[in-house]
Amino acid sequence: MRIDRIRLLVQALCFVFLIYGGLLGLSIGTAIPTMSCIYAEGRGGSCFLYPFQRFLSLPWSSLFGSVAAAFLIYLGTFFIWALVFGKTFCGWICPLGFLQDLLTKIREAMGIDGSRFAWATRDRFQWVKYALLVLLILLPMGIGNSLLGLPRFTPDLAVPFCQICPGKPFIPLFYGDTSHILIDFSSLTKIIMTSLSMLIAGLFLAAGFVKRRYLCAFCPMAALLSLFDRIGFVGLRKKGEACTRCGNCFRACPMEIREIADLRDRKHMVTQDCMLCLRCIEVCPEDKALQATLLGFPVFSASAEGFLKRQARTAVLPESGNKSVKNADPGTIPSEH
Amino acid sequence: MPRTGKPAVFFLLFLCLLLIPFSAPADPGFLFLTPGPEMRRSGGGDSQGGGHGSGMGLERKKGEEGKTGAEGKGHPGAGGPPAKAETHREGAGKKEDGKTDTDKKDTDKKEKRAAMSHPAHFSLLLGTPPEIRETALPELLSAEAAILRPDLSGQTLQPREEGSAIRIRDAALIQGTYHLKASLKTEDGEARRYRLFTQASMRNTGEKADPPAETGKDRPKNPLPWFSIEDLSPDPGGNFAKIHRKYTGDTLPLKIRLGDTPLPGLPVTLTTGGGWSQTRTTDEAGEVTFTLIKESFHDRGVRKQPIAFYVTAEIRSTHPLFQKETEEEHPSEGGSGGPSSPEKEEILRTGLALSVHPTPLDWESRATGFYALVLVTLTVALGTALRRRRRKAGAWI
Amino acid sequence: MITGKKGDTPHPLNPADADTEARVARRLSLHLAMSVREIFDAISLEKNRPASMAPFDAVFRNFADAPDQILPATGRKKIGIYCMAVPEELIYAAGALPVRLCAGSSDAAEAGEALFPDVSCPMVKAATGFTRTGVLSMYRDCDLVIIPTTCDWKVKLGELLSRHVPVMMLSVPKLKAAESSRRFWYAEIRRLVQALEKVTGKRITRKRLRTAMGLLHEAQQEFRIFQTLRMDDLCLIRGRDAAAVANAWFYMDAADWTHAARTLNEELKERKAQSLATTPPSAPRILLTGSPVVFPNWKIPDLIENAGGALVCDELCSSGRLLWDMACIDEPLFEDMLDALADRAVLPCTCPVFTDTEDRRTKLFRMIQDYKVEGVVHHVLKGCHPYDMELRPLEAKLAAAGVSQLKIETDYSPEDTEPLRTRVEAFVETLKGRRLRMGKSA
Repeated sequence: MRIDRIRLLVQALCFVFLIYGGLLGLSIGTAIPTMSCIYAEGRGGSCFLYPFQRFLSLPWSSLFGSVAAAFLIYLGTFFIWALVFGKTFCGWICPLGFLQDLLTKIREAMGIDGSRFAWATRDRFQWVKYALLVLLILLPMGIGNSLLGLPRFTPDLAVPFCQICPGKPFIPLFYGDTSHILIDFSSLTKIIMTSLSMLIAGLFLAAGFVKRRYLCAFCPMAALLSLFDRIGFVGLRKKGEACTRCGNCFRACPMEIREIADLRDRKHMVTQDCMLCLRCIEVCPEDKALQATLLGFPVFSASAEGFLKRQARTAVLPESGNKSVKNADPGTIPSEH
Repeated sequence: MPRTGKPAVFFLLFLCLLLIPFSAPADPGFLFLTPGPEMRRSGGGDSQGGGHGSGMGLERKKGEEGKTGAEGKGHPGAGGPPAKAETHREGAGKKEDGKTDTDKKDTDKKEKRAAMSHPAHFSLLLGTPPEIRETALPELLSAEAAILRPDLSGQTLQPREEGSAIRIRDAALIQGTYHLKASLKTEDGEARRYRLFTQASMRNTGEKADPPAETGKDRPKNPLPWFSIEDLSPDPGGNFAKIHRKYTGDTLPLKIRLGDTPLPGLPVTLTTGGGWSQTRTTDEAGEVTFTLIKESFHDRGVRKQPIAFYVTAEIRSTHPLFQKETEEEHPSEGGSGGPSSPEKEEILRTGLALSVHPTPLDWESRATGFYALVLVTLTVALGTALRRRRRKAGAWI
Repeated sequence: MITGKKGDTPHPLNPADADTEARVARRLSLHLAMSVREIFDAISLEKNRPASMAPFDAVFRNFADAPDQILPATGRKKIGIYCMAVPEELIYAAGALPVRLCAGSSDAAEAGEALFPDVSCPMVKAATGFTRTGVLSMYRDCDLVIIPTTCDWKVKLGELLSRHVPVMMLSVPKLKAAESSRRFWYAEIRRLVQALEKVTGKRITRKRLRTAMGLLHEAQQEFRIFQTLRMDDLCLIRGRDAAAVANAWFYMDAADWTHAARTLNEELKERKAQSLATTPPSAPRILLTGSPVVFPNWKIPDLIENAGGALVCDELCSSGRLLWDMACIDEPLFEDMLDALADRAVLPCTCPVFTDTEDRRTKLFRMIQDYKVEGVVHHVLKGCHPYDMELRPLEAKLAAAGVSQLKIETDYSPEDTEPLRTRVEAFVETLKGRRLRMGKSA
């Protein structure tokens, strides 16, 4: 079975669990490194960023004083989640990622071709997620404390990233809650933040329709999780000697990571954009050129045989079939030494 | 007991004539009872904004209990109401220190309740909404005001001048609902006579009193049928909570009556402090419903403080129902002050003042947000489609 | 842009009357038939040849016996292509038959050399000779000939051929790494699609493209199996025969070729089970790389194997590389599939016409490891400057890694066979000795 299909199934299950799990009383905590939006009331686990921003908006006297222990425990929980699962949160678990993948599937079913970033554009966008991460740390701090002698920021800037995250308007929709699609006129800050929210939501729908995983290029959660690229339990390894630089992996990558195709001298291929969807391995035709590893042990390797099997099952046309050879008995490539 | 009888009326008229050069406007407007400053202060949360905007989160971790209570409200910077409530309780408690404490707990409870009770303190206002201010208009001193307490005891109250306003007071000590009524007879420059009515209610958490002995309506009699506006808001708790807080977006069902007769087909106007108004007509049962929404948004920098809404209605004494009512109630009396005399037409007006707390409906626009979303989506989609068309078939460079 | 048309437009430099042309054509036809028959006579003396080579042999026998029947009988249009840079899936999707016209006949090179400099690519000379004389009908029968501008010779070949056949040039970017190059190549592929649709009169639709890609995938699967079988310690098939199998792809329909290759693979697996090898285990394993080796120019493979070497693999665009790289269907949508084909045609290509050698180097090292290669033979055709230019640095790198190498610079003519034989035999002996010295088991 194609890994891509399995991944979509896992994403769907995680989506149902994360968005509706609370209705059954299930919860996996509040430090989950994925967009399990807190604005969904019956959620099965909370996005890490909301309590993170709340913690950071406390005055430093309490953040480093009375709640320091709680904060450290909270960060530690996040650390463990990120270490064990790492970027697989992006590719296999994130509800927003699931929604974007659904949009892509709808587009493919409609027969509309996708769009790709120009290389320079994609390179230029890479700093945005780090900038957002820095902002979501500094702005809440400025609310509870005076940064560099500046006056304290308005409380309307509370949880600044949550206010612009596309999860806020869209995930409550799955509860029939449209109350987050609005413009708040009560202050200039609110007008700007809610307008940004609508802008990003609109981009999510329109750009996410034509470009795969459009918003994942800007997600600060990816920036956070990329701290764990090298040390995470799940890894992606490349064997440069086996690579022909055919570019299949780059073509299949939703995040358009060129390094996976271009570089032969690098072993750890989980880059800052990578979401460990493993599509690159699926389309690599050279044996063992790319491998997914768990704690260093390969769990899924590229192979010519696997490639051909999966390709034969991709978009098989019912009427003409792909069997044009008289003897319908595809041989198997014998195992190498 | 409000005064009846001719002499009082003539005296009032004389006073009005005297005061014409000083204060009488062409049209006196309407009479309103609004909570006074002392009630506002202790009202509990009136000064702090109501709505919490767009969802400030419900998730709490154990560790977060260390945060201030304000955190819990969603505004890290807002520490107002709990603090204020504390100080008030402390202040009130000091007054009660002189009591003897036989049973400490009971007395403490009583003290608490007594401390939480606040006297009835209302301002009388006269004017045409929305331009109504608290002014010490002397003619208001001649208004007749009465209070009906939870134990069904009633009392006439005398309006007093307090600083720059005319106010009435009652040391409401019993727990329960108090109803106040006020009326004023006045004339304008062209000798048109007006009768202005208004009413208000308040809820007090004071000492618990025994329930009233009789359930009958032992209200003080009015010389004339009372032109009343009654708030028919649902009261599921049966504790008159409906008079506590009105929020933007709430519906306000009203019943307009003259005495006990509902008045159908009467135009009723709802005006906001900002000047927006809406007029509706009562149905056959004398009922009308308004929705407490302003027409336009707050400007930027909205104060999340309550807004004054005014409900007004007017009827002329030549109205058939009025005639009927007067004859029914007071068939013998020729009419106090001659309201039924055909030559002298009086204008009866009633008013109800409400304090409406803003909710996010006042500063959030779901429609704008939705249209913004649709606009952005369409723009981006269209832009992308155009770009792709231009790039098609070999124009990749 | 399609230039030229079918027929004969005399060249201003070499008007050559009809008699001369006829004489040249007759001579070529005779000599070609002679050399082909010679090859098959030699083949018939060989033992241990897999029987499944028959369909491939049949194709090549027709060069001598029935030149008109080299291509399968079909009503489809024939599209001639040069080089691997043209994705055949597009031609299949347009309902036509792709014919690779890279030529290997020394006689044809003689016939075509009048218009060429002294030292020039023999393949291009041969192609010109065939086209000019029309001895093999497929050179003249093509409804369109597509020439990618990979090397300089092909750049100028277009004008020469356009006197006889309609020609379309395809501009291949030399720099693979830049985005602008790739986008340019995508645009070129789309231009190719338009030309094909115009010539064949059929639209290339998403379904047809998908079917064509599936067709090629099957062929590529068999090819991979074939190449993987050659990694075996036993040399299950002669290098020349392996080159012939791949070479036959030029002229066969994809489905036929896949079927024949599948049968061959089955037989090779049986041979492996029976430990039936074509060469003794003492034969040193040799890799052949460089300029293409096209039928009937089996000079180098025969030299190597007759000298006792085992030609286990080759890195030639005419055989070992031919069906190796596979395009992936990522999103099965039209534009994406076109781009995938475009990428497959250029990105993994190790031809020296591109600016970087790293791809070829990596591939060679990998093959050396996978096939347990002991010696590398560099085959450079005279006038083939790209391969010549890459040769020295490549030799140095391989030598630094301890690989034994032999460089052969030659052309199609059989005259230098004997001097080469001495060199090749010496090389094979060196390898054998090295093996003994290193203690490898025979």
